[in-house]
Amino acid sequence: MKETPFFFEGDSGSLFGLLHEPDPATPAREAFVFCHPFAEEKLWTHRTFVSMARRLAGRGHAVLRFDFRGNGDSDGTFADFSLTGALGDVARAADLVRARTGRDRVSLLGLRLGATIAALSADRLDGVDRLVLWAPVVDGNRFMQEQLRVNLATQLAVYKEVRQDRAALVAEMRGGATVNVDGYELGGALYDEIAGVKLAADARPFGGRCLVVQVDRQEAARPLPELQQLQGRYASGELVLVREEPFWKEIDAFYASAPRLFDATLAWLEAAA
Amino acid sequence: MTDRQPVTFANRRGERLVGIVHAPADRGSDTAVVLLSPGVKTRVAPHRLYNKLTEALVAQGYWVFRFDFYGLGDSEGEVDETYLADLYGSVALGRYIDDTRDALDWMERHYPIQRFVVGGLCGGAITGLMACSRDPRVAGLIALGLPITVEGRGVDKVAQMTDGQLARIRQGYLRKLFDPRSWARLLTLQTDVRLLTRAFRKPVQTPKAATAAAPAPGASPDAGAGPAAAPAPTSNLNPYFAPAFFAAADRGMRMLLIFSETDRLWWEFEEKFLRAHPGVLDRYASRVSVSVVAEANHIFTLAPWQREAERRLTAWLESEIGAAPIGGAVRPHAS
Repeated sequence: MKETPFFFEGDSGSLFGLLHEPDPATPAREAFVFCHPFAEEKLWTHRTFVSMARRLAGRGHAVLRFDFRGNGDSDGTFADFSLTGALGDVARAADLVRARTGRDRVSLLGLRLGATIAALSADRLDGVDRLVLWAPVVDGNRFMQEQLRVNLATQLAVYKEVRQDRAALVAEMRGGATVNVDGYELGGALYDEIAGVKLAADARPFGGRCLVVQVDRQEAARPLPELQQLQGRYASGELVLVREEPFWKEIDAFYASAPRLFDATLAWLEAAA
Repeated sequence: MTDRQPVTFANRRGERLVGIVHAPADRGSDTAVVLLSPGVKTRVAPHRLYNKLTEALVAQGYWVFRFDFYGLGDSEGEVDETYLADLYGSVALGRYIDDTRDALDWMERHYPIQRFVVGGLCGGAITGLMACSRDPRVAGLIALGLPITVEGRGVDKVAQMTDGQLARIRQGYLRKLFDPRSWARLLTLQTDVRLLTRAFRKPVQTPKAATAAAPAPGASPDAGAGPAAAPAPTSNLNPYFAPAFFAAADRGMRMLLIFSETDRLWWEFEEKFLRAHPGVLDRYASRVSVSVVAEANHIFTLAPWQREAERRLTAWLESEIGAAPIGGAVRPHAS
C-alpha cells in the first residue's frame, strides 16, 4: 500500500490531498473520493477517515482524501469555504483520482456535511459509480442551528450571559459580519447556503447505488424518518443502522476507527459489487 | 499563501510521518519553528490555529514544519488508547518525544536549518519542552496552554481541581441559587454533591516541593537532573515537567508561555508550579516569559484571542530569537 500527500489545483487555489493506492498485486476496484465533515467535526473524525481509507486500499480501492478549500491544509481561509465551492472541489478531486489511478469508476463516500456534499456532487457529476453517506446532514437549517448553539455556549462561558441570541447572530451574518463557531468564522452566504439544504425533499437524480448509514449509539435505535425518506429518494438506495458513538464531536472515546460502521459499509460494497 | 511542500519522513520506529514544510521568502534562513500536534487535532490544530500562525511565522522569516505524530493525523502507526483522556495522558508523559527529535534530525538533514524553536498548543507544548530541554539546537520553546498535569481516566478530577476552577464552579452554583430547576436537580440527586461540597470547602493546598523525578520515557538519561519538584503522592502533576523546565531554563533556552485566562491549565501552572517554586519566574526572568490572554479559553476560540496570541508570539520571536540567515548575523541572546 502506498500513501502519497500532494497539492493539486482546485478552482481557486491548491487543495491538499492524500492518495491511498493499493498494492499492485491486489485486484483493482473502483476509486473513492472521501468528503470530510464540517469545520471541527473534520478534525475529530480525521483518523477514522484515514483508517477507512486504509481498509479500502487493502481491498484494491484507490482512495483520495482531500481538504476542501479553506479547510485542513488546502489554500484559503474558512471564509472561502462554500457548498458551491465544495462541489467544484469534489469534481476536481474526482478528475484527479481518475487521472492518477487510471480508473474510470469513481465512488464517493462522505460523513455528516461531507455526506451531503457527496450526495449533491453525485447528482451533478458524470461517472459516479456508488455513493456512501455516513450520517448525512439532511436538514441544513437544523444543522446550522446546531452551529449557532455552539456560539451561544461560547458566549455563556465567556460572558456568563448570551449577549446575542440566534436572531441577532443571523442578522449579523447577513449584514456581512461573521459568527464564530468553535474558532471558525461563519459568514451569511455559507449559513444561508447550508440552511437551504433539504436533502430528502426531492428525488435525487443520482441513478447509481447508494448506501445511507444511520449512526446511532443506541443498540435498539429505530430508523430516522428523514433517513428513510432520503433512502427512498434514490432509485437504488439502502439504509442501514450501525451502533457507534457520535465520533464527529468530542466524546470520551478516541475513535481511531469505527469497526461496525466499516464492516457494514464494506459488506454493502461487496454485496453491491 | 506560503511556499509549502508536503513531505514524509520515517521515525525511528520505521513509521512514515506526514507533514508540511513551509519555506520563508529567504530560503537561506537557518531557523525553523516546529509546531507539534496538540493531541488528536492533527498538524492543523483546533480551527486551523497552526495554519494561521504559520502565515505569520513564515512572514517573519522562519521555516515552519508541521507534522502528524505516529498513530495520529495522516501518519502511519497506531495508538492503543481507546479513551481520549488516556491518550492525552500518554502524550503528557512523553509519548512523542522520539518523533519530535526525529523530525528535528530530518529537518536538519534536508534543509539549511541550524537552529530550532519548538512547541505548540497543549500536548504540543509539553512534548516540545520534554523533547528539547537539553537539545542545544533548540533555542526556544513556544508553549500555548502548557499542561503541567497528567490526564487519564484514573485521575480524580474533583480532588485535583485548582482554586481557580473551584471559584468558577462556586460562581456557577451561586448564580443558580434562585433557579428552581437547580434545586430540583439537587433534590432528585442529579447534582454532583461531591463537587458542590469541594467547591465551597477550603481550596486546594499548595503542593510540596520534593525530590527529582525520573526521566520521561524516551528522554536522555540525564533528563531527570536539576532542581526538580516532583508531585506529592496524590498529585496529578506531571513528574517530568519540572525537570524539563529547569533543564531548559538552566541551559539558557528561551521560553514563551502563553496561557488563557479562563483555562484550568493557567490556574494549574499558577497554583501547582509557581506556588511550589516561589520566585522561579524572577530567577529566570531573562529566559522565561509568561503571559496570559484575557478572557481566552484553552483553544483561543475567538479571533481577538488568536490575534493577541499571535502578536505576543511574533514579538517574542523578534526580540528573543531573531531569524538571521546562514553566515549572518548576530542573534539575540545566543547561549
